[in-house]
Amino acid sequence: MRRKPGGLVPLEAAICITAAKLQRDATTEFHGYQIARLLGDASERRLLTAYGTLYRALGRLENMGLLRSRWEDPDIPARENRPGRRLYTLTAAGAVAARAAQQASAQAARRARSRLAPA
Amino acid sequence: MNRVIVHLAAILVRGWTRAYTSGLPEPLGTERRLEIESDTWELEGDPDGGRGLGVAGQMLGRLLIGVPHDLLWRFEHAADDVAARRVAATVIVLALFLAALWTGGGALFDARPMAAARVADCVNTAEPPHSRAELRIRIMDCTGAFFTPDRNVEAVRSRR
Repeated sequence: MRRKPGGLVPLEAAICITAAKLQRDATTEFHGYQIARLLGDASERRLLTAYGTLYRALGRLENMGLLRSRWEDPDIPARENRPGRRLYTLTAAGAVAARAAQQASAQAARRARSRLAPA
Repeated sequence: MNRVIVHLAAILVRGWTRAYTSGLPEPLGTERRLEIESDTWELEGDPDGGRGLGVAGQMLGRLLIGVPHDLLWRFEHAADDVAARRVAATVIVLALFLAALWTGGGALFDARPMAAARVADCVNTAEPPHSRAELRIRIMDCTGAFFTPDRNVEAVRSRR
């Protein structure tokens, strides 16, 4: 997928939109598998986003300043007997990008509907 | 049985992640390995994680489809490091080799119905064998038909 200068590829836009929805539901932090599940549910795909595709996209979004990440306190996974999670947060710039992506996708949907509507 | 397959799939995911992250400056490689480890653990424990494909199928599908991105990610981070670039090149050659095996395997699978048709042809054209010796000869003949390349099928038929 070719990237427009300053723009987001569809997966990056979908991650930002999903993270913004989580934020609205008072979930400020999310981990990789959680976002893969939510993206899969939203697109109704059976196969979740591939490991390489997802974590490369998350890394790019972090480099662009749209996401921020931190490793959770090591005591928590030790107590719950599981591997530690890298937790991502949508930044203010990420929230702006999510709104722009959502507007763009709504506009595209409107255009598609008007093209399909009978003349 | 299912648990064993999931365990094997998780080993493959970990093995591949270790391969493409090896030799990277720290903490880059370790962080990627920990992140994939956490994801795999969550997927294993998710009751609806398989989404109809099974947890092992989900893991292997995600692994295989993500390989090009893993390699690109590796190259992006190995750009300044000659040793790391060498490892990246080796990993890419290995991945291409595996892809060739995968494609070759598919081609062999596609070729099998033709071979099966040839063998069926060989078996059906003959009358029942009159003796044990004739039966042995036919078995040899049909085995030959299975392994004979397509261009020689007519030659084999004419010999018979």
